[in-house]
Amino acid sequence: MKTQPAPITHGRSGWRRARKLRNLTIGGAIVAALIAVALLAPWIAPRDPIRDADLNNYLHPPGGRYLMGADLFGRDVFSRIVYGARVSLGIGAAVQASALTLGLALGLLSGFYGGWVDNLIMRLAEIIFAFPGLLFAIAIMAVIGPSLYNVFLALGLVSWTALARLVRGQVLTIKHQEYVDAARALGASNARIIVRHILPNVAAAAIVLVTLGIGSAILAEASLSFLGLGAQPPTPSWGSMLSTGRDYLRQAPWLSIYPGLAIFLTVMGFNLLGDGLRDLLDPRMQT
Amino acid sequence: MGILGFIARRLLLAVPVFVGVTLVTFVLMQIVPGDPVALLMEEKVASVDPDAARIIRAKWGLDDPVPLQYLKFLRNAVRGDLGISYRTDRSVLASILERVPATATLAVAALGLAILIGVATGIIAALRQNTMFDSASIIFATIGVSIPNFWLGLLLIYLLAVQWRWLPPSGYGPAYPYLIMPAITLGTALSAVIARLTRSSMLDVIRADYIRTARAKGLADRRVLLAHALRNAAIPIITVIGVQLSGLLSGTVITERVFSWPGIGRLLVDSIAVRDLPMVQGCVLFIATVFIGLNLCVDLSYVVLDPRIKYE
Repeated sequence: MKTQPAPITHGRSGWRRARKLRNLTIGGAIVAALIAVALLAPWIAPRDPIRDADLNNYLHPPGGRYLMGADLFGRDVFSRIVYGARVSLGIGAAVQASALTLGLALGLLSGFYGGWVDNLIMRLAEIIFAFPGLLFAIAIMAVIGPSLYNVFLALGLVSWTALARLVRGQVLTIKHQEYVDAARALGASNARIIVRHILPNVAAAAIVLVTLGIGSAILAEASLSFLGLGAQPPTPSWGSMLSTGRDYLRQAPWLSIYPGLAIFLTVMGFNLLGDGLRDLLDPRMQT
Repeated sequence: MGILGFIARRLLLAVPVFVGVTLVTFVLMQIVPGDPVALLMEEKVASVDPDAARIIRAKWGLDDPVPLQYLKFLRNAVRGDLGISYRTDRSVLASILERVPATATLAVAALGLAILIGVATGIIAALRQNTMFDSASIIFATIGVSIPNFWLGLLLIYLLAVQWRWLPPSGYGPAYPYLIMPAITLGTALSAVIARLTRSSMLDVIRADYIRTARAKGLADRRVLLAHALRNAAIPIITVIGVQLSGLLSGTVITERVFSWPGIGRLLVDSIAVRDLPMVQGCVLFIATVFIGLNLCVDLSYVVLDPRIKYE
């Protein structure tokens, strides 16, 4: 169904390049700001996110001492959001680190050795894929109980499949290339072939997948916490803040508006950065 | 191989996936710490009588070897017997089936809305490439895929129900006003993805030779657009809908929690809160099975849309 592409004019390619850079810049700026907020949280947040409760300021509206208002316990919503960046980024990074490790290892094993190893790993990936997105993580959380660490376990168990498939596919293509045969004939070990020939070929796609994956993992943590299956009080998780906010939407909309805005900006930052990196590193990859 | 062969093969391929899903669900429930019978008795009568526990264990086959327990579970699941709820003593399947209409209404409304808005936005954006509308559609797509659905839902409730009082804040009724906000909440992400893909796949198609031919032989614009361009652009769109069904189904769990919508997702979350394990297991298995079935339908719809597909 592929047809001849239209001739690329200067205007069009210039517009494309500008868009590419725009995604990368906006996304990169949001992510960089977020990392800075997480690292500098104790200096940015005016109050302690957990201990600084003041029941006299129960549901204090935004303004005055409370930039984004106060919650049920008179805690500063702004400070909790600032510290929440640590929770979100921490979960996003940890989940994607485990996805990267598992995905690379299982994808390499699967593609390199083939046979029953390949069958076992790929069937497992297929079964995980057969559960709609968050559902598998919800099922795992139902069994092991709600906590932030368990969120990491559940999301880590689910998130490796895409990368494993990608790596396996690359290995299968590369395995039989002449230069790999040549390397092997020259006495290169499996490890050397993997590091020198296979990893560079999957690096670009893996970076894009992992960047987009951090956004998804942050969203998944927020979703689980919103359902009451993730971080538990008093941890300042954006998702669990929203879960409380839902019950006070009429009296205290700021309990819902600001944490949600933080999740939205964060996820958008990683999505834009991922898209920008994809355009930059691997123009063949399409959404 | 003919169409029937393709359909048969595709159906056969779904079987091992279904068995795998039942296996994973079963194993998950085995990991739950504690003895389910003791858990149940504490729940019901606040004490554990060892003799009664032994009788119940024997009756439920919990003394059988685990592989045998799994085979029985699989046999029962295929027959539609998903066990009895710890909480309500009612059949799990009956409780789930009761909730199907609510979830199905929500999912179908969201899907319809997403396709309508996504395809329309994508087509107009492609036809008016590099205009204001096109830029707006790209911004809509970027925001749409990033906005957390539970937050969107809360914002809609706050604006449309609390501030402006146009719609009921939550609940489930026969009238459409109850459905509007949940459908927007669940459908926005999907409509953003569809808009983005429709735009790029229409851009590919409208430059194709056969579109020029169709125009050259004097067909009306509308006919060229709908009968030629959109039909060819539809295949990637259907594919992405298939991929996104996963997000749509897990999205129902969250949307139902936001709007107190009495569907399967809410049943699942409520059952987790009270540790009603047979119900949790049943809901997970049910949703996953529906998902497998829907994916099958997506694959089969290619046959209708693209006669060139080879059935391999």
